[in-house]
Amino acid sequence: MKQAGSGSEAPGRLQAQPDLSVTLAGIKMKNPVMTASGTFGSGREYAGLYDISALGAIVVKGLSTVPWPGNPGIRLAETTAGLLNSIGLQNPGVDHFLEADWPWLRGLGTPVIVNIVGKTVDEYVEVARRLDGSGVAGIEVNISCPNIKEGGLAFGTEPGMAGRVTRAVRDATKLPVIVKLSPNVRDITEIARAVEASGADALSLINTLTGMAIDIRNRRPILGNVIGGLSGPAIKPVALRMVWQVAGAVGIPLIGIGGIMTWSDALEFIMAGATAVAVGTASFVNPLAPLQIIEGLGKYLQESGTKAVTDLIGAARV
Amino acid sequence: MTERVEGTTVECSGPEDSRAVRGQATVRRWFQENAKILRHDPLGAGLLQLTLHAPDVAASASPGQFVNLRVSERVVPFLRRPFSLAGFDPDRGTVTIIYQVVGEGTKLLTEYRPGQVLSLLGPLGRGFPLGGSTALILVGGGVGTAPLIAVAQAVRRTGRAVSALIGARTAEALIGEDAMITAGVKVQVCTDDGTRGVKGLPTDLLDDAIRGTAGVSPQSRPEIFACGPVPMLKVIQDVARRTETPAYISLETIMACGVGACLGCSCRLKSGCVEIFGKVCTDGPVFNAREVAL
Repeated sequence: MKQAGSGSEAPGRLQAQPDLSVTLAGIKMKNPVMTASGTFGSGREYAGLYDISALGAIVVKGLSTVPWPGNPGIRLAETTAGLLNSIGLQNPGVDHFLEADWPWLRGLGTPVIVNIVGKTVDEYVEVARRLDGSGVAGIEVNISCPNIKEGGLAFGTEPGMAGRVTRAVRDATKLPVIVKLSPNVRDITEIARAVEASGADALSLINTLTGMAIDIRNRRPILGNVIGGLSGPAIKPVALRMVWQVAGAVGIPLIGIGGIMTWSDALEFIMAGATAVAVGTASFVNPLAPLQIIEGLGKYLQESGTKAVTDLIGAARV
Repeated sequence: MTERVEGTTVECSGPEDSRAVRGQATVRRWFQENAKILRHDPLGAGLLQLTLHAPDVAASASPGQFVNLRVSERVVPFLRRPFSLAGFDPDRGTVTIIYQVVGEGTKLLTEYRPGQVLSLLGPLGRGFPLGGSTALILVGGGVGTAPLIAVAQAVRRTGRAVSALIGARTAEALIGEDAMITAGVKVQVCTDDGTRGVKGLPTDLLDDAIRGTAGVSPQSRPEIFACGPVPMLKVIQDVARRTETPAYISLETIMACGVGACLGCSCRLKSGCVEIFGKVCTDGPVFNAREVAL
């Protein structure tokens, strides 16, 4: 029952189903809630609990040219309102994904975006090539990986490198290319602009913040890798600030990531300028969080008399 | 297997029934239940027993599986805490855990009272393989005895001969003895300080227990199920290898998701001639003792 007139109805007055759909980098999503790479496995894990096709999009864990074993020792440390991880990008490789996981995922009927990792530009290109034409909805380039040809400095820490890997992947595939930015930089807008100029269709930010913890009983760093990535509510203010800044610096759409636990967290990122949001660590604590966020956004739209979630993108910026 | 842990060399000794897998091939059903606390009682020595109403978990659980409990409605402490099931009753719809207070999360857990509700994820992981018919020897150390209580209750009806070696620091810290005796298990207890039973470790009694139950053929060999501190599990591995007794051990580690998505709970597994990283939460927590590199 569509109502005529503008979207600014009086609050509390019920209207037709609000529109939660968004389109990002040409990918149509029924709602703006996605999963964050590395927190959702290959989808089967949480499919045991709920119908994951309700999600706007699924982003599967980073895949490399060959299987990567990941880091030895302890990979997790709880922090105040957060989690440190140094998984080390363990993954079975893109070929295993295409053979064993993709056939099941493609039948879900919701866009599947594949995160890709590499130690050199050539490796990223190779993974992108193997995914090209597979039917996946898009590629998310994880540029927080160390570039072994530049002394292990992460691709995403320097605009030139970030631009080069983006350009190489862009040229290797017809798929939408989303680049996931690292926050561990002097000026994220610099990186964002370089990546946009190199052909990225969208940006996702942020990846984890580097951090560590020490066990005072045995006087050793807790993580086997010593340094890990911090995620969870603790990083939300930083992530939000970065989305705000990047939204003011580029024209391509953004996916906001970082400590989103509830629909109001998601709204903050949307109002800062994000077209969609990704939910990561929250799933460990509250597996139904993504569904509750979708529901909460819908209710907010209804109660605030907003016709579509897209009306709220950047709403805090005017 | 090409996801090999770099720099490792290992004998080609992985068992045929190696459970190391790369990702899940099927979707394993599990539940989130807002479970009402029915009982929450201190057992002594910093141990507590918690029984909750969680009918979906209770109906589909098997011994050796665990649940991931949310200990705070807030974000501190942040992560859930995993606990092996000490028991479950599909008819009553209840699950029971026995836990030790070891940190912030378990300390907070002690404050919950009957009538309050806790969010539970489960049942999770692979439990003990219950298809055998030869004598079963359970070896439990400290709070590790908890999942073995569930095993004892499950095999009770099969008429299988079960004996148990249970150890703890001190008499007050022993758990599961009564429940196991009720389930028809022949129980021997040990304490580090000699305040009850034999003074020493339960593994000190293991060779005799194996000899006492072993038949004449390989097919009548007893099986060992063990859960406890890592040094104890290493002894189990040694004894099992030396006596050629099949053994299954339950591991524990810090976990985040508990369902196989985050890859945070890795353990080193032998798979054929290489070592790989497995997940305690989904490849385990129960493993063939021969496949784990402790």
